[in-house]
Amino acid sequence: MTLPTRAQAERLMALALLAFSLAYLALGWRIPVPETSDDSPFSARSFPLALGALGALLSAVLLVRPASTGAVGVAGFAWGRTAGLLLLMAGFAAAIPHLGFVVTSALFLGGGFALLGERRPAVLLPVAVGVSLGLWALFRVLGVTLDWGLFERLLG
Amino acid sequence: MIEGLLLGLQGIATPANLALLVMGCLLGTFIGMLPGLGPVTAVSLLIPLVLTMPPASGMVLLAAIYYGAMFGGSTASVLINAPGESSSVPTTFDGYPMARRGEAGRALALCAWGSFVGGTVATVLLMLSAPLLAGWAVGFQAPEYFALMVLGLTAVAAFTDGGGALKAVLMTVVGLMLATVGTDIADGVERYTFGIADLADGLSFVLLAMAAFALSESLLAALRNEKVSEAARRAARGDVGTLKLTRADAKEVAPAVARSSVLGFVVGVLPGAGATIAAFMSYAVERNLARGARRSEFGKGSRRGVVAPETANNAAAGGAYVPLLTLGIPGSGTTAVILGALVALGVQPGPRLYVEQSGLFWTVVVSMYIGNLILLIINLPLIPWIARTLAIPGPILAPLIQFFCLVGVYLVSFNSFDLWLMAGLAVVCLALRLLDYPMAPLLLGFVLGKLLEENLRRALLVNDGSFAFLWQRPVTAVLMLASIACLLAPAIAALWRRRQAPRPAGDG
Repeated sequence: MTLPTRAQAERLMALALLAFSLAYLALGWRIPVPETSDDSPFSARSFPLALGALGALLSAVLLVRPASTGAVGVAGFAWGRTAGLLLLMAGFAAAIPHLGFVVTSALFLGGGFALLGERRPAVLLPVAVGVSLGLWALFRVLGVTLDWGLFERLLG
Repeated sequence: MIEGLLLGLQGIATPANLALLVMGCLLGTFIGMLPGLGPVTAVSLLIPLVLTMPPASGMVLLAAIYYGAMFGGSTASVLINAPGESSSVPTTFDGYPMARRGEAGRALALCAWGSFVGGTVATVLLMLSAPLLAGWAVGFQAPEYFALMVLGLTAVAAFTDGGGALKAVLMTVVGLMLATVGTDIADGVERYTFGIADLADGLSFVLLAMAAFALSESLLAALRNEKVSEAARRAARGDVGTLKLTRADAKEVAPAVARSSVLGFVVGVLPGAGATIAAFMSYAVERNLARGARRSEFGKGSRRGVVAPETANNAAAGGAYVPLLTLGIPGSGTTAVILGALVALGVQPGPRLYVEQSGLFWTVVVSMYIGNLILLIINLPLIPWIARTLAIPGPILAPLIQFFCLVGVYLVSFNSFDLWLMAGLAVVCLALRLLDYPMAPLLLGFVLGKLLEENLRRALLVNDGSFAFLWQRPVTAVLMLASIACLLAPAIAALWRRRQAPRPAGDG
């Protein structure tokens, strides 16, 4: 896969922002306005409509005249690793209601360290488990009990 | 004023607040020193904790984190030539050459003394100017507030160059758009919630601050795949040389410190300018004022070159508190985050804050005096030890920061929807940052959005739907003119540069 050039990337972003602004504008029209504010100069719809129009105008200008403030060197960027970190974050969000705070945190930290190249178990495990348990204990002292999810139910 | 100071002393002199102050200074220095992490990240990471505190304690902690991080940023600049944030960039010009000459300790001591004097002078000036500004603004009504906020939002554009200005304004608009998500205060209708109950109260400010700063920052670091440099390893061994200054050093830098303190404060007060511009300006001023041998030292390890930007950026941080505490208008990303925290703590920002929450105002002011002293007498001697964190490998640091973001947001709401939303927003912010879209205006727009809309609504209701108030009321007219000037400034500056630039041969 080849990455877009800087100018292409600028245009793509401007296009995305234009689409966002237009969608925002279109949804703004559908904001229900209570009948009492029919004769009022300013309704719940007014501000969003103005912002949507302004956003569309500005992104359209950027689309026509992309403002490249210098090339960003993306050579050597670790795209795969960053995507992996994002997946781990999604995993954290998905797992925390089920596995509870400590286990999810330790898995996230251990996974993150391993993903970024820290493979020594003597570093990885104590930091991951220590930080998770340490925070759990700290919050316990502060009066917030973070649950253990599934494990709490298993242990009754 | 004496009464106020006593009130502030009373506020700060509790064991809890003093502990928060020391903790804030140390933690700020620690985070600010880590490569790529500056005050904005440090402050955003602490917001979830701050929201559990009384407002005055929370503000004391955030202020301490703010100037602690400014101080930490200078350490990374001097020791490893890697500024934690943009306002410490000019410190590298002469600080790193000094470190390479084996004078790292002296350079750090210069930074610390400069920061101390800059921060203290700024606090005195804050104390003197805030009552005047608040007194003048206390009669403001909705039209003036609206114009003031417009100025605060447009000022950001004035200090970015050519194409960057358009991006800054667009980010402000996107921030304002994000602020409209949730239930409208006046009409009570839901806007942009898509029927999702979690969005009825609007987007969480903590979530956006984390996504825009701390989280996307750490993703960016992972993406860039930065390794711990040899300089960082050397610095982590803790050998920085003497931390003492001689009488000759003091005599040499005193005039530069005095000038940079005042310059930094004034630039910091201006909305949108902030610490970075203050640091670069004071460096340039000192270089231009220097004559002969002193001038040629600049860039090779000049003492004035180290002290000027450090003094100015700390003075600017103090100056930025003037519009924040008296008008409720933040001038930078960091102060926008602090303002957001203030609102989340239930404090109404604006000129009335000074009158109605005078305890909070004076506690913050007095905490700044003590905090600057703490930086000098506690943090400076600890620098060789804190510098060891510079060698924390990226593979450990990036997941830890992301983890603190996730935990911070989760602990505010105990809701995994917020985690998904934050991760999604962080991806968008990452893409925007890669293309040089600034994040500070986004957050500024988000923080001021609801207030801006509310004041515009009130102003229009009172004026029967007419926008004439924008030019018929003197204060409003001046503020709107200043806003227009801010928007036009980058274009005029670009035009000016083009005319000044030498024409290529054969042209015209």
